[in-house]
Amino acid sequence: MTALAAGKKIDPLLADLDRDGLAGDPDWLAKLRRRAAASFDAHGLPTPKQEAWKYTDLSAIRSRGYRWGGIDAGERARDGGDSIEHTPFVGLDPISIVFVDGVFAERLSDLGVAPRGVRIVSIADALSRGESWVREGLSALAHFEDRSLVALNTAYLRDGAAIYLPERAVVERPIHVRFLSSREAAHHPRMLFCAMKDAEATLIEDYAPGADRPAYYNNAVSELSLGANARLRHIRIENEASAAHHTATVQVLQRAHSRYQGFNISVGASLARIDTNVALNEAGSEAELWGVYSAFGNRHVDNHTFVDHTEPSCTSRETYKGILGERGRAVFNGRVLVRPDAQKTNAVQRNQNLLLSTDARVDTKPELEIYADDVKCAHGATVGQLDPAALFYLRSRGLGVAEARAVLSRAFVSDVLDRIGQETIAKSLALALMPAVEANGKEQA
Amino acid sequence: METPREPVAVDAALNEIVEQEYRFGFVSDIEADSAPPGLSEEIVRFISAKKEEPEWLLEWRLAAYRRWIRMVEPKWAHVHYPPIDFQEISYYSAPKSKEDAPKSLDEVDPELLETFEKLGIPLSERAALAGVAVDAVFDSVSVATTFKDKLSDLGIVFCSFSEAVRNHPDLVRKYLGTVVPPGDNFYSTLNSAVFSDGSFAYIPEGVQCPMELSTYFRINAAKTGQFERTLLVADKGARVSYLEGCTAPMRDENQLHAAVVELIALEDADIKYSTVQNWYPGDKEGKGGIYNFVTKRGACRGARSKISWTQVETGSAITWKYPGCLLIGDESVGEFYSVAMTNNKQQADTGTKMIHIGKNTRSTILSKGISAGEGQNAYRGLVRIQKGAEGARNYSQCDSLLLGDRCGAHTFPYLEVRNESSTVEHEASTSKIGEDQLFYCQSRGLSMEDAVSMIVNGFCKEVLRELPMEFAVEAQKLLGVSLEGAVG
Amino acid sequence: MLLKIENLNASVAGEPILNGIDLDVGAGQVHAVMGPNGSGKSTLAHVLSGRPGYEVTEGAVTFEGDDLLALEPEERAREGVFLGFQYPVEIPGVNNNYFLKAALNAIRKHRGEEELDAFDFIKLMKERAALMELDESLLSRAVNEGFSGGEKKRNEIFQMAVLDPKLAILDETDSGLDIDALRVVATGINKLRRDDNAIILITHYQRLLDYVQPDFVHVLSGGRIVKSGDKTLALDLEKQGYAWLETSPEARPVRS
Repeated sequence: MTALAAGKKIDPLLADLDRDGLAGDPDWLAKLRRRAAASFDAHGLPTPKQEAWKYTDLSAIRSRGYRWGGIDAGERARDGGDSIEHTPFVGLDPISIVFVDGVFAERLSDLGVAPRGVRIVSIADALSRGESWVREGLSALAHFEDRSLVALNTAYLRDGAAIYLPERAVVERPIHVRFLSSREAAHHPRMLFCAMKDAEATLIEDYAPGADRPAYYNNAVSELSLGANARLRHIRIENEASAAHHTATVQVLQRAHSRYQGFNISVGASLARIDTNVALNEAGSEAELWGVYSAFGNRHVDNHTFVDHTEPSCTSRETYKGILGERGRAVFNGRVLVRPDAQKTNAVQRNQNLLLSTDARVDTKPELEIYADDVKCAHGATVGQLDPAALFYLRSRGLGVAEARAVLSRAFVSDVLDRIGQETIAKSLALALMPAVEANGKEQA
Repeated sequence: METPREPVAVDAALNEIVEQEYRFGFVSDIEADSAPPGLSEEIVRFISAKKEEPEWLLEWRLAAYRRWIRMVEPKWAHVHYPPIDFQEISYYSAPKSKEDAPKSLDEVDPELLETFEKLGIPLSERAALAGVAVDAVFDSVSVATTFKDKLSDLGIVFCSFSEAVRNHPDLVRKYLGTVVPPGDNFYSTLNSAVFSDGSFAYIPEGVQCPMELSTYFRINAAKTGQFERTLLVADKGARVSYLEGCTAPMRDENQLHAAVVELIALEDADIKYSTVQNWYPGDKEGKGGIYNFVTKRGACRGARSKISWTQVETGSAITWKYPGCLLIGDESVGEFYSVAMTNNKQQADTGTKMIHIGKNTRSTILSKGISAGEGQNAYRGLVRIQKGAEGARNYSQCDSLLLGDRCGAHTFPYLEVRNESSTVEHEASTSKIGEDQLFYCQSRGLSMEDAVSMIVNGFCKEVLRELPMEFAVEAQKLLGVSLEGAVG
Repeated sequence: MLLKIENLNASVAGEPILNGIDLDVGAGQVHAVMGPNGSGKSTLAHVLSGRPGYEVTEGAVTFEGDDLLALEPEERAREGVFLGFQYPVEIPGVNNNYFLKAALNAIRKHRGEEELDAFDFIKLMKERAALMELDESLLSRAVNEGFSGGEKKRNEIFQMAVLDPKLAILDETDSGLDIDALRVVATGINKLRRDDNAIILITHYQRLLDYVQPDFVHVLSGGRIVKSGDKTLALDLEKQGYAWLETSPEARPVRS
C-alpha cells in the first residue's frame, strides 16, 4: 500500500491492506482500490455530526479494533468453510453460493446447473478469468467518493458473489448468496448482480454467523442493475450474530419498465445500518421496497432508503415496519426525490413502528423532495403500540402476556413477510424477529 | 390525460394571481435616528443606552453578543442565498421625535400615523378596528399602542417591550430568555444581543383578554435589520388571542428580519398566536426581499395549558421559522396550523417543533404548502416524545400543492419517540392542482383564475379557519382569493 | 336550432373516437344518446363542454348559430351549456353554496343580469334544493366531498336547476343509482324540462328513459350515430342489446 503509505495518516481500518498486497490484482482493480483507500483515509468512518448519521454512532466499531479478516496474499487456496456448519433454508432448493469470512466456500455451495449464459460465480474467480462484465460492473453503481463505507469496502474488494443474467434468461430456482462469518474480524463482502433485458430472478442475500457466534464486523456493498423489463425479487436478510456489527450499502439501478421488489429484513447484529438506494433511471420502471426490522436487547437498527426518480412515469412503493422492545432502538430515514423531469411519478412511502417497552426508542424521518409538478406522492409514519383490546382478547383466550404480545407483534409485520413469497424464509424470520417467549403451554401462532 | 391547452391557461391564471403588485411597497419619508452599520460591543451598548436599559439587561445582551461572535450560521435549511455581511447592516433605526417617546397618540408624528393608516392599521382608537388592541412597531421601535388603558383596568399589561422593561422589570426579568435561551441558535442569539423593540403582554391569573392583541411590524429604513422581541405571558387560567402582521417597502437589497417570540402559558392558560407574514418577497427575478429568520417558541408550563400557532406565510424572499411548543405541563396541548406560499423565487423552510415532556400531552400539526413559479417550499418539523411523556399523542398532516413545473415542494419530518405509550402519526401528500377540479369549475362558468383561487383557498381552508376573522379576510386576499364564506 | 353538430370528428391522445357525428337539437327537445361502452358517448359530452385533451379534428358545432368549439369551457357554461358529470369532482375545502354562487353570478354577469345578493341566492338555493329533494345540509359541505354516489348525481341536477342552462348534457347521470335515487333524479329532470331549453341524455340503459321520455333516441357506435328514432328505439335496444351493432358494422349514419 505504498501510495497510501506516502500519505500522512493511515486509518487503522485500512492497516491490513498491506497484508493482502495489491500485487495479484489486475491493474484497473489495484487502481480502484487505491483510490477507494485514499478516499476512506480522507473521510474516515461517518460520525453523528453528519445529518445522515445523526442517530447512529459507529464509534463502537472503531473501539473494537477489528482487524481485516480476509486471507493473506498467497494463502488464496484455503477453503474457509471447513469448520463451518451451514444450514440452508429448509425446502428452498436454491442455487447457492456461500462465502465464509469473505472467501468463496466451494464445499458449502451448490451452483447447480444454471440456464445457458447465466453466470453465478465468485468475484475472485471471475477476476482471474478476466470476465469483462465484472470489471464493468464493479463500482459502476456504488460510488465511494462521498460514502466512506463504500470506499472502505472497495479498498478491500477481492471476493464476493457475481451474478450475470443474459437477455431473456429466467432463473427459476432462487439464487441464495450467503455470507457466513466465523472469526472476530472485519469483512467487506461484495455482491454484483446484473440482469440484462427481460431477465428474471429471485435473489436471496443473507448474512449469518458461523457456529460460534463471535463478534465481527461486516461492511457489505451490493450493486444490482436491472436492464429493460428485467424483474428481480431481492430478499436481503441481516441475521448476524447478536454481538456483530453490520453496515451495508445496496445500490440498485433500474432501466425502462424494469421491476425491482426488495425485501429488507434486519434482525440480528447489535448495530446494523443499511442504506438502500434505488435509482429509477428510465421511464416506466417500478420499485417496491419492503422492510421489516426489530430491535431487542441493546440492539440498534438504522435503515436509510433513497428512491431517486429521475425519469417520468416511474412508480415506487415503500413500506418499512419495525418492532422495538427492551432497550432496542430503531432509526428510519426514507428519502424520495422526484427530479424536474420525473413527471407522472407515483411514489408512496410508509414507516410504521411498534414500541413494546419504555426503554425502546424510534427516530423516523420520511422525506419527500419534489421538483416536478405532475406527481402523486405521499408518505406516512406512525409510532404506536399494540391494541390493548386485541391483547386482552388473546389473554382472555389463555395466552400469556408475553406470548400475546409476540403473536400480535408478528401479526403487525406479517403482511410484509407474507409477500416475500418464500414460506420457509418468512417462517424462520418471524421467529428471529423477537426473543423466544415461553409458550405458556400453548402452540405459538 | 394529455392537456395541450390547459397548462398555458393555468400558468396565465397563476401569473395573474402571482403578479399582483405588492401593495405595501411604499417608503415613508420619516427622519430617522439610526446606528451606523456594523455590529460590535459598542453597538450593543449604544442600543441599550438608547433604551435607557438597566444594567442586567445590558449584561444579558453582551453575554449573548459574546456567544454569537463564536457561532456559525446554520446551513441545514433547504434554502440558498449569498452570505450575509453582518457588518453591513444597521442594527438600530428609530423615527426621530422632537421629544422623547410620545406620551399619547396626539404626539405621534402624523406621517407615521398616516403610514399605518395606509397599511390598514388605524392607530387612533376611534377609528381602530373594534376589538383589536394594536402595538405598532416601526423599524426598531414601538410607536404606539392602542387601548392600553382599557386593558390595564383588567390588569392586562400590553405595551412595547422597551416600556415593559421600564415599568414591569420584574416580569420581564422573570420570563425573558426562559423559552428561547440566549445561545439557542445563531439568529436568536443575534436577536438577544441587538433586539430593539417588540411587544410585551401579560395576562393575569384568571383573566380572559376581551380583545385581540395585535402587533404590526413595519420595516421602513433601508439597510436596516429588524430584531424585535415579543414576550407573552398568560398566567394561570388566562386566555389571549394575539395577532401579528408585517410588511416592508420594496427595496432592491435584501433586509434581515430576525425576531424572537417567547410565549409562556401557566396552568390552564390558553394562548392563540396568529401571524400573517407579508414581508416584501422580492421581485420576480428574486431581487430584494426580506430574509425572515425567526425563532418562535412557546412553553406550556402548566398542566392543561394550550398554545396554538397559526401562520400564513406569503411574503419574504426566504422564510426560516419553526414556531414550536414545549409541552411541559401534563395534558398540555400544542397546535400548529400553517399555510406557506412561495412564488417566483421565494424560498420557505418552515414547520414546527413539538416537544412532548409532560404526560398525556397532545399536539396537532397541519401544514399546507403551495408552490408556484420557481418557489421552493419545505416543511420541516420535529415531533419528540420524551421518555416521561406517557400517553402523548401527535398527529401531523402536511399537504403540498404544486402550481407549475418549475417549483418544488419538500417534506422533512423528524419523529423521535422515546415512550412506548405514545402515539405519533404523520401523513403527507404532494400533488398538482387537479385538472379535473379546474375543468369542473370552468364547466360551471368560473374563469380559470377564479377556479385556481377557489381550489387553493379550499386547500388551505382548514388552516384559514383557525385565524381570527379580521386576519382570515386579509389572509385570503393575500392568497389571491376573493372572500369565501359570505354565504352559507 | 339550438345545437347543430355537423360531421364532428374528435380524437383523444391522437386516437380518433368520434368519426363524423351529425345531430340537431331544437329548443324543447329531449334527445337520448345511447350506445355500448366505448362508442364515444362520454367523449361527445366532453367535446361539447370543451374538456381539455379532446381534440376536434374535423366538423363544426354551433350553439344558437355561434361557433361553440371556439369557446373556453367557462364561456360555454355562461352561454348556457351545462354538463352533468358522470363522475362529479370533489373539491375539498370549497363549499357548495359558495361554489354555486360564484358560478351563478359569473353566468348572470355574462347575461347582463345583476349579481344575486346573499339573501336572494339563499332563497333560490332553498327553493331548488326542495325541488330536487336535496338535503340542505349538503349545501354547506365541500363540493361533492364525502357525498355518496347518489348524492353526487343529485347535486349535479341541483346545480343544473340553479344555473338554469339552455342546453343540459347529462352524462350517464343514471349510472350507479338505485331505483329510488333514479326516480328522484328523473323527477328533477322532468321538472326542469321546458319549451325553451333542451336536454341531451347520455345513457347506457333504457331505465332512465322509463322516467324521462325522450323525443328522439340515437344509437352511437364506433363514434358515429348509426340509428335514430323515437322512444320506441330505446325499447328495441333494451330487448336486443347492443350486440346487433357488431354484426352490422356497415350500419350507416342516419340523420335525425
